[in-house]
Amino acid sequence: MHTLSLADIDVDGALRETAGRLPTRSEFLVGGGLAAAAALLVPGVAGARAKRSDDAILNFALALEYLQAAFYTEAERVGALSGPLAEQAKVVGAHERAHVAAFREVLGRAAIKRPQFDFHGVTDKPDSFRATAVAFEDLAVGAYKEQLPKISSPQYLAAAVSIHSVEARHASWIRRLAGIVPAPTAFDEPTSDGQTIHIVNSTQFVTLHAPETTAHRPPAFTG
Amino acid sequence: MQEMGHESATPAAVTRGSLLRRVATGVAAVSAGGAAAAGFASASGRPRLTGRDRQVLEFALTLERLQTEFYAQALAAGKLTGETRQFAQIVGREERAHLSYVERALGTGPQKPATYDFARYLTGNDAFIGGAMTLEQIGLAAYNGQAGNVSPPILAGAARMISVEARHVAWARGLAGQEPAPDATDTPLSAEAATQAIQPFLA
Repeated sequence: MHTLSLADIDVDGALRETAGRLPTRSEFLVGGGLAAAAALLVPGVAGARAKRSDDAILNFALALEYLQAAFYTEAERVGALSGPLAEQAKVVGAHERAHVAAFREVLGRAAIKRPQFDFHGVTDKPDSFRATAVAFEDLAVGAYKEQLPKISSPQYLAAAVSIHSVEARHASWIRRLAGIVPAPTAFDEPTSDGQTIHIVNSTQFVTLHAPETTAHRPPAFTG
Repeated sequence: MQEMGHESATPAAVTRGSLLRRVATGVAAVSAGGAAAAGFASASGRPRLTGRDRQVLEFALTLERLQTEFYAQALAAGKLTGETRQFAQIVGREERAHLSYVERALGTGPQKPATYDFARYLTGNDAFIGGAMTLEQIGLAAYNGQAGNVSPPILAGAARMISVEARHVAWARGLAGQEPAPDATDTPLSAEAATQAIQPFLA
């Protein structure tokens, strides 16, 4: 690892760039089972029923974990990564799958279903994988941070807190691999639910039908 | 620094250090004076603190002060190079900002700074990064351990720093050749265990 470039990249820009060359059709968190979770989170959920509110928050987290788990799992399967990047995808993918399993277990029958994903080939090349992973992890940190003060149950809060900081480790890890400062600011700001939904939607990664990228598709990147 | 790789911030031998006593005394005082502390509110827009908020912030002050001083001394010693030096500069700056934030949140009456002993961490990159990794891991685990003890506004404020501490941990681990995120969840540390764990850094 050489000296980091202090010039930070515009993560949102990277995500926009990724999204920019994708077809526009599907919706995330506005279609299918995810709509329920999202709708509950958009304004005015607070108050009345703590359990129900916590469930909505956990489902929101679960949606993000589904997205991340699918992304890393596909990257591993496609096999276009090598060295430290492949190691990051393998380890972080296992974490995100563990987070999915934990939320599903806690939520039981209230858990939203796993949607279909189509990553439009961003897992086929190290560069697009890396840029997308940076964006996902920084987004997860902000999205979790927004939820923490709203959680009523001490048990759920403890779980969310311990996952929030692991997402921040992931963000730091992949940023370093991308050659950008792992901890660019003294304070990480929360990302509002609306902003999170908007960003995820803009990627077009969530689809209601079968993904185009399959296990049988050879990677575009052949080294 | 191999032993530093263990993530669980193993408490060092309990020395009845001055800091430990001071923290214990402070905790007792806060408990006794809870009603008064809960009434704390500022005209300058600081968040209203509960007795527990104040107690946790006092502890955060101890940790942030320790970290800030650690990086300041490490840089002053002039033995760091390359990315490790960059790490110390950036992380040191961020810890200073955290310290200011905690001081502002507390408003008045910060503790008298402890006396530190960082000598063994100031000899070069390897020694430094081992110490930094330990300190950051203690800080992160201690913050995570207090998340359920503070009121929502204080949690919201602390969470802005917690993830930055986690980024520091992962960066330090990477520099030390360790896996940045070895587990799917982070294990919290009680205030008591964290207080014990920082003893090796105190004079």
